Amino acid sequence: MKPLFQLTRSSMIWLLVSILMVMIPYVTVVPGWLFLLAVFTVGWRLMVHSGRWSFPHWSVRSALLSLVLVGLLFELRSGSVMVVTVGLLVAAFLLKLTEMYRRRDALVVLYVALLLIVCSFLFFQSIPMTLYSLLSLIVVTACLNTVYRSQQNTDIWRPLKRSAVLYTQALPMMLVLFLIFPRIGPLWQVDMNTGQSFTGLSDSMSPGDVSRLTRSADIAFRARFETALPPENIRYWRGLTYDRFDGRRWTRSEQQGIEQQSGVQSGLAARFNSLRDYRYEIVMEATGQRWRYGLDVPVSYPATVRRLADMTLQGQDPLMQRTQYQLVSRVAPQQDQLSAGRYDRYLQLPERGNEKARQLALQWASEQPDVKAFTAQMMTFFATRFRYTLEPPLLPGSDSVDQFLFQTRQGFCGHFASAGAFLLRAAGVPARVVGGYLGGELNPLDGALTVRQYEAHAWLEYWDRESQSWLRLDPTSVVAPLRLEQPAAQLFSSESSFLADAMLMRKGFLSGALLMQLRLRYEAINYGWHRWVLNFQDRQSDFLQQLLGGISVVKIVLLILITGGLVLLGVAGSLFIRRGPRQDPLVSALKRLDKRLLQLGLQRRSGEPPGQFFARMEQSFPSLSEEFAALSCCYEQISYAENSDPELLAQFRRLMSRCCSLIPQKKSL
Amino acid sequence: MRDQIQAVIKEVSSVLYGKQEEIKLALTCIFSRGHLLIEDLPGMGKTTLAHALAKVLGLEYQRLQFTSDMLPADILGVSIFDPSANRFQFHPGPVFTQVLLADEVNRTTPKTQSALLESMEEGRVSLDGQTHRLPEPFFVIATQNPVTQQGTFPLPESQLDRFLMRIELGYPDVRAERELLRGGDPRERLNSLPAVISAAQLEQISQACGAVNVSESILDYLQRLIAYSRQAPEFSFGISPRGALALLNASRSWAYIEGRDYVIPEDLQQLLGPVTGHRLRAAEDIGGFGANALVQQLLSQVDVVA
Repeated sequence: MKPLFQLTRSSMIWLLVSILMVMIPYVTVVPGWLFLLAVFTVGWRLMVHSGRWSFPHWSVRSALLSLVLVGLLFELRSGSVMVVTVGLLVAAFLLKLTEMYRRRDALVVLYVALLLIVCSFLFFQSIPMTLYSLLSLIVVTACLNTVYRSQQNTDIWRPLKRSAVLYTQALPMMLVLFLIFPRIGPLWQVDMNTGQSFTGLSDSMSPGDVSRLTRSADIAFRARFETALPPENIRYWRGLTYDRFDGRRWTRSEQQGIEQQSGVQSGLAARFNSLRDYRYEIVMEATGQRWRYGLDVPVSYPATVRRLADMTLQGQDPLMQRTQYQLVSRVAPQQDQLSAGRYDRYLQLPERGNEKARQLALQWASEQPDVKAFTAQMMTFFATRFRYTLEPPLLPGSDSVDQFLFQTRQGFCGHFASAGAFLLRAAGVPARVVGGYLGGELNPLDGALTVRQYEAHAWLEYWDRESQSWLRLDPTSVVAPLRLEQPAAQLFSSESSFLADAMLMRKGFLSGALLMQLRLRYEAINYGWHRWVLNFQDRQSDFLQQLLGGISVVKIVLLILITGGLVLLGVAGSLFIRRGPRQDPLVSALKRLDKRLLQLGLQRRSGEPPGQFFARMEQSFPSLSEEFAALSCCYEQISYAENSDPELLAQFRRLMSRCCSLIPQKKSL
Repeated sequence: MRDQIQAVIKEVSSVLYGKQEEIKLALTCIFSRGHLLIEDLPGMGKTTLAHALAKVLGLEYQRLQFTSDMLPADILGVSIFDPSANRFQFHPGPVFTQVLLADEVNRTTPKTQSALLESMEEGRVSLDGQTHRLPEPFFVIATQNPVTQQGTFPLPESQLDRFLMRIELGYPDVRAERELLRGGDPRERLNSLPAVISAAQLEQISQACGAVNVSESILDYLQRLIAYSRQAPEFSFGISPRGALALLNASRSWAYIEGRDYVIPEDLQQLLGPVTGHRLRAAEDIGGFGANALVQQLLSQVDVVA
């Protein structure tokens, strides 16, 4: 039996560091009991290394394996497939430690470690995480290095330095590949819903929902305008509309219908108006939902997004990771010839309930037959008797609108929008509640607007028969006019529940100028990171287009081949140059002759001085003896004598070519 | 001057038949102002060569037979109290001469061998706190039996390194031996050998040898040889800088004797064995039995042009 492979001390140290570094990112991902397994296997491996224990018996290993499999099967019931798959990989990685008999086993462990580093990108893609992964990569490679070195090296840091140097050398190649390597769509996809929860709007709204959002300072999305920034009072970012009301909760009905917009889109986009139209790019955080945010009426949008009849945007799939898209929006009333079916849908109300509100609506409707006057009266009603607060009393009963309108009279955007839409519908005016965000904080460093969860907002839209269009109505604007003009952070800062979950963002912390600056800087970097690194595939085509002018598979392949070829040529060239200074013309001529004589088996022997060589040739080719004698003389003079005649070199060349041409092709024997 | 050199060779050849190459090597050594070690079995003509060289070059010489009971004072000299002058009087030893023929140098003990060290390297003798200069020029031509012979003390490396060259004579070829057998003992003619050149002429020749051109490509080749000897695993240790310098100087003299005023690779190759053979040691060779195989390896493995 072959002797067991003994890891060297430095190898063991680096292996431990590698395991630690590789496992840390998975703390929040894989089930916690895997870390118990890690402690167990690493501990056992250490005991083996110190010679106290032997490797676990096969029965122990089998038991461990079955336990892990059963555990992961249980996880499958609650968690996602992705987590369990990665968990399996982690478990395999850890279990392999207990049967590391040979160098090959150690290599397997380290290769799996590399795979795990890559897998962590499934869950995290931030800059710190990337840097961390790079560091892990260097450490694992250092460990790989120690495994290959059999002799004990006393310098622990040496492999790390080596590995760092390796990666530094690989950096240019990485950049080139990053820029030109074609991004091919995945052959198969897994459900990336890793069980993480998102903060943000949901597809139903009941009283109190928005206030939950004000506790969070997470970024909802960032918008970067190519055109001028829209004024603060029209920064209404529409996300989705709610058209069904069940007396308490607003929901969106499924049959929104996709607008046939082939002509509309191009027609509108063609008349780009710099006064009304805004062109911008949005980087949206993952929501787990299909809707995408945009200002008023999006007139131009990417092919991956559809525009629904209510002028909101919808992606093809739930948004599971940060994405970016470009939009052109028009700030104008939405033209909409409401069909009969849709007209009725926007008038839908529960059969009964909230009777007092209905009576109020009918009463107003009889007083003010005009819709504009009706809404004006409603706004006055809100403005004079209501108070805006993030901590309204609960509305427990089934007649929540009645309770709000006539008893508590305290609430925030959701309450007002909900009640307003109810009143309008009760009076026979089609209306809907819109969920989205209002505002956005300008980052002066990169000119992008950052919209945070606490800026979530709800307002309503009603259909104006006269202009055949939807008009925006925001009761909050009259109850709390400041909400439109000030950043939400200032307005809400007195409320205790505001940003209860985000310590750093709260008042006091936020006001520190330096901290603010740091935060803005970090966000700007993050934004760039996303735009230029994570989502480079969107830009790669532009980049390649600039580089190549028109993309085709052939061109890309050619580009890769040519670049790779050039790199290899460069490497070969540097190796060639490293052989030393340019060769002596004499020596190269001698080598040419040598090559010629190789076929005849008469080439110069190693260590044979040129003089002896030429003398030998004189004997081998009696017909050329004179030439070879002269060659010998010339060579000697040029190479070794002091101040040789420059004419000699020319003579040498002449003689050489003469000899080369006169040497018989084949041995004439 | 070259005629004189040819005359010297001819004269020496008249007592040592068929050894032209060896005679030239010995002359090379002397022209390079180096000490010569002749190693061979007894009766091969070592002493004859040494004797003849001293005679022909017109140098004052002393012959010293080394024995196992010899002491340093027997070589260097001794201070004896002179009662009449009431002081110590230094009596110079046989080392105070221009050519010291150290016969069978490895028959004496290392202690006595070492006594030669300073005189060979510095050209002077320090005794009883006094330094005595040796005459100019000063050559040691030593002969020794191979270390495989009984009753020998191998020369220490430091002592070996003092010798510029170590040459072997070998058996004479058939024709030379026939001549030898026919003509009787040539040693009888030793004493009648004329001095062909004077000490001043010897000095001139030495200077002319030093002026022989060494081209860059020769230096490249030399450095490749050195580098190879230091890297190849067969070598216990490589050629020292002193060894390299010795090889270069000897090559110059050889080229001069050959009638050239520049060194060619053949010169280096010719002298590689004599100059470095006793300075190299194979990794497996603990006894120091010679490095001919190493020299051959150097010659065949290191290419002349690169």
